[in-house]
Amino acid sequence: MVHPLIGIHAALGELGSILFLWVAIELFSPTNKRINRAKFIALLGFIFLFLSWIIGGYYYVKFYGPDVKPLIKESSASWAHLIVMETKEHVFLLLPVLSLLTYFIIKNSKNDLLKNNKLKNSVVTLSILIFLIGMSMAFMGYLISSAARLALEVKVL
Amino acid sequence: MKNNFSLIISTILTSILIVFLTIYSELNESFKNYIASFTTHHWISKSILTIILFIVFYLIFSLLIKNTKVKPKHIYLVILFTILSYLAILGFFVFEFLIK
Repeated sequence: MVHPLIGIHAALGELGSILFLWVAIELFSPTNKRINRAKFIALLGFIFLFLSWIIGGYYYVKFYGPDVKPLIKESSASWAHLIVMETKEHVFLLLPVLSLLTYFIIKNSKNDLLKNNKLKNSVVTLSILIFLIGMSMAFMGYLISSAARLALEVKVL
Repeated sequence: MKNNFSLIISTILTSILIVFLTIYSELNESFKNYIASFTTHHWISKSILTIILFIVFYLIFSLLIKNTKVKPKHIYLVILFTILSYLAILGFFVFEFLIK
């Protein structure tokens, strides 16, 4: 059975990433009310991504490393660990930093976001980038889980 | 954290640091063991270093730079460094896999 921590890690990570798509949508045509909402959603997104980091990290060190990693590395899908997991565990470190930056820019530049269209567009692009990186993490998680299942099936058969 | 410009610089420096820690620890086993010795696992050490250095970079540049305003080009620079960091890490592990 898939460990419940993977589900919690994935759910928090995906929700956190989707919240940044929401931030981008709020900022498409900003008003005072929308910027306040975007600020709150960005903070929530950061918290979700931070919790996903902690839970995913705990699972990675406690369960994935000793139990799943050797299984995948010995299988025909060793790339799932050697490329995908290695990339995922390190690229993920960028997400909490980027989400915190987005929150503070929205919080500190409320008036500028209302007046400066170019600044607004750059924050929208940054939010969409966070969303896309988050979605790529989810896809990588899917590849790793699939490789683990394949490795386990081959071992059982 | 009110100084947006310092936040931008610390984000860019942190992303460079993540790429450095990732690639150098794979190329140098003793460095990987050294950073792992701070905690119990190299990844935990990298995670903690990411948080600490982001805050330290911010504090240093907040003292040095009084300009708190952020311009669109600064945010696009963060976006560029993020994409490059992603590609550098992915490219490194693909390359490592192919040559082994």
